Amino acid sequence: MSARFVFVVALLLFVGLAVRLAYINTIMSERLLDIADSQQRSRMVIDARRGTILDVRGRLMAGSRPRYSVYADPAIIENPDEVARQLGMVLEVDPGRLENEMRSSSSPRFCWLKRLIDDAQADAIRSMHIYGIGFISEFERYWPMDFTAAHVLGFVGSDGHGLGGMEMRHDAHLSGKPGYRTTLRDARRRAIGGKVSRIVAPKDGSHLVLTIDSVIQHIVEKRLAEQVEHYDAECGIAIVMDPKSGDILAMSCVPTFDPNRYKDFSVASRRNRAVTDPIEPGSVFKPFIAAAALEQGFVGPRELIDCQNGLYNFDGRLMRDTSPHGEMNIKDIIAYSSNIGMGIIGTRMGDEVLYDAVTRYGFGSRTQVGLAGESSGIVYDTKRWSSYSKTSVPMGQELAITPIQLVTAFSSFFNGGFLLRPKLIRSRLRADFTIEESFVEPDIICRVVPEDIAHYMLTQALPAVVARHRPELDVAEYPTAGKTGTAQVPDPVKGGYENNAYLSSFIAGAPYTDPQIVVLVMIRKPESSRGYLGYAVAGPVVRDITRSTLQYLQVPPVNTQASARP
Amino acid sequence: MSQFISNQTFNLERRHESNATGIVVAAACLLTIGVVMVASAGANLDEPVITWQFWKSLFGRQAIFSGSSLVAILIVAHGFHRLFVWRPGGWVQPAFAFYLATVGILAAVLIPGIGVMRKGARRWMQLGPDSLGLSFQPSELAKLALVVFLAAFLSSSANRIRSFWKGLLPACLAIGIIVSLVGKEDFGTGALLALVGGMMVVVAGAKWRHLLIFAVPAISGLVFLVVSRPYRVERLMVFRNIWADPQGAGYHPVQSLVTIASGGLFGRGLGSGVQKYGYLPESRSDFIFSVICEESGMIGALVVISLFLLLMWFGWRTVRLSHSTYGRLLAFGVTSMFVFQALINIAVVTVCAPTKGISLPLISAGGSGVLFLGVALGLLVSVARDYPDTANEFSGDEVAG
Repeated sequence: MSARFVFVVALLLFVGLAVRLAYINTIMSERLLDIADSQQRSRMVIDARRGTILDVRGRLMAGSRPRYSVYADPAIIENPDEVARQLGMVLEVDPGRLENEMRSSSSPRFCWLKRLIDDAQADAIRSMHIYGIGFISEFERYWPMDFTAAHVLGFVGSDGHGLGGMEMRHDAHLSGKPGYRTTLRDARRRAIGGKVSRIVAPKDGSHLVLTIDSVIQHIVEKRLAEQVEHYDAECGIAIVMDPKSGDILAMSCVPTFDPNRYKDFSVASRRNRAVTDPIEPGSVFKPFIAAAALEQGFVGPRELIDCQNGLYNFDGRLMRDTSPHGEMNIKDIIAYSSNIGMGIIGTRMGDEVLYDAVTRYGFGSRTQVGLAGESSGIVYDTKRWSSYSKTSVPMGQELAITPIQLVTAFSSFFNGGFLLRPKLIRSRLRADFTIEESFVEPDIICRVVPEDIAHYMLTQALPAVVARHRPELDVAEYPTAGKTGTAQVPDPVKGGYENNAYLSSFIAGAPYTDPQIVVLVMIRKPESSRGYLGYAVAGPVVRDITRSTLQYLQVPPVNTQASARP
Repeated sequence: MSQFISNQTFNLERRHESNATGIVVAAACLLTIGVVMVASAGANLDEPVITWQFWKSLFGRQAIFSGSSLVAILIVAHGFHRLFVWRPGGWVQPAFAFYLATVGILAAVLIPGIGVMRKGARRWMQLGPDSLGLSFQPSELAKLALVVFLAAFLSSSANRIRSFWKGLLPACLAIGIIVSLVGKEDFGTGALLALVGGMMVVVAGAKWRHLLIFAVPAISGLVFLVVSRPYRVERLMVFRNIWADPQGAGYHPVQSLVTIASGGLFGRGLGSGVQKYGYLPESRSDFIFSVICEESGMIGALVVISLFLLLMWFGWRTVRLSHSTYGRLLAFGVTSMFVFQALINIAVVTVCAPTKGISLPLISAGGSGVLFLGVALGLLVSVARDYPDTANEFSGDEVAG
């Protein structure tokens, strides 16, 4: 063996090691760089500011404001009991709890003491100069109008994501995209100063402009709450819609909640009953069947139907009217809400025609108004209908609809016969308040009523209802057209209907000469000794809402003397 | 250095001088890289690397020792290798005396009170008061002493190595004693000494059948050294699969690979490495090559490897051009000591070999150890510059083997 041999071997070994280096840097590299990345970098999230929610006139309904959250580094706090005592006074928290947080923190270098404190509290703590106490700026969601439109707005959980209403439905747009700051750290997790740390700026969330007008919303909520309280009712629902655009101007439920303190309220009070609850509608449903019957010639506008003086036997089913009548035309059948008259019309139409008419108005399918938990209502297939069904359905029984479906379908009488998609969003704005997407144009689904029949319903049949129940329903300066309903509340346990439990409803639009709004009010289970009929319980609420709203919208009063009264 | 070259007569033996210059330049480059990289790898968040008390800072110490090492090369280069040449018939053999002294120090280090424990091994000897922070590893001295002694002894008479009793046996005993003393506390260096010593014996012309006699005791000795320390066995087991426990036993090799891969082709930039901040243990000493890979990439790593190859090339030329057996054996011993130490170190950091405590010569932070490396290189340069006054040159004269 010579020295040459030794050095040639050494040379080959060096070449081998160079190849090994190349191997580490190529084939093994991905796995190794993953390890490097995960151990060296720490990523701190920079919150994006959640977009605001504005009403149709730009009033702030939900906003995000920066607030300080105070934390402690337990490892460097020398006497936690003293610190806890000092901070407890300022933060209005039990010092014992603060001390416990610091002593038994799951992370040795970090524990929250209190999140989202007032600026004044933060200043006070800062001036104490306590070593080991720090602040982090976070965004706090707040709803300045408290209860107003709570069900539409929804609320936001502690993780910053929407848990209901618009906050949940549009969470992706509202929440924006959080940024982050990457910091290189040494093995003891200390930031390596001056080292490459990457900052990706957060993208703030988009703003929502609702179709809700907070003034109308407030009018509605106040009046509805009064009436629910007055009648000691279980709950109340009210919706105000612009029939020509499908915009929802107000939507209210009682009981309601304050999204700022959503945890203090029951799940039931956070439910938006206007979209989640299928309700057996009763008489307010009659105009839809009447309009369909007129359209398809099952009844003529001047035809007289014998209403049998309030008692009639439909193949073994005995039906009654609240007020007995003889021969009536379709207008009076609606005005007097004759069950027998509607039953006769329903029998003429038959199951299939009735079913088609009901589903054409959108009952049985979701309106897609954009609120979570929307129900499609309950409309059974004709196979499940009984022999009673063709007399029950025309008076709004054996099916269930949601209030939003009812308002949407009813609006078709007030806009010349179109079924529109109800809307809650007027537009979406970018973080700098420029328009990102606009939803101003009405979203027409289909024509559901021929124009002449819609006009007949609007100017003849529905005003007659109001005329019958003056003064509860009539707004003198704004001629109103609508339909009352008093439904019995089904008993979910025993079947049939509960005793003395009613759903009082009134749905009306005004002024019918040039309709601006349609208002629905439903009050469920009013104390029946004080009253339960639709025109008596729900009627005045609609009347007052209509008057206040139209005055607020500066709709000129219509000369009542000139307008034809039926 | 220019002065040192100008003092010579250029025209006589340009090739000898170019070897000497090459070795010095390569060594100077490696030492410079070492100072820079030790300063960079020493970066941490607890204390500055460079302070006003220059000599107490990491960078300052390394700069001072590396500078002294370069000075040592230039001084020793002035014919100092002749000091240890075997004197025929002489009673006092300097090479043997050096060897005996080294063995004495190695033995003394093992005695508690003289030797200092660091990281579980008694490898260090304290010099002066604690405040000075001077200490040295006698194993560095052992490398020098073994090479010098073997070169001198094996060249003392023609064909000495062909004789079993007068040549091979004493040489192998000398290797065995020093390897067992060093290897007890420092297996890596012990193995390196055994390897280089063995190669010197073979290159000097030992008979293969004689060598076979030593194979059994040599191998069983090394096995004994491995088994005598549990952590050595553990390292061997870990090496078989470092991914079995990347946070525990496999942590060191895995972190070394992570550091190397972080550099890619061009590196993160000098001083921009992150692994040295507590992730990679021994980042300034045994694992400094990984830091070089991280901060200057494959390119920087290849530059360092090329410098070692350059050193080897000039060492090999020195072996070829030297006119005496002593010179050839000394040049071979010093060169191969450097080359194989570098090879083993790089093999360890690239996880081609189990972890052992072997530094990268001339680059790793090493304090006084760097000084002995300088002396060894100085001897190599000294051999390179040594040419006969007569014009007849020994070129192409193979070392017997």
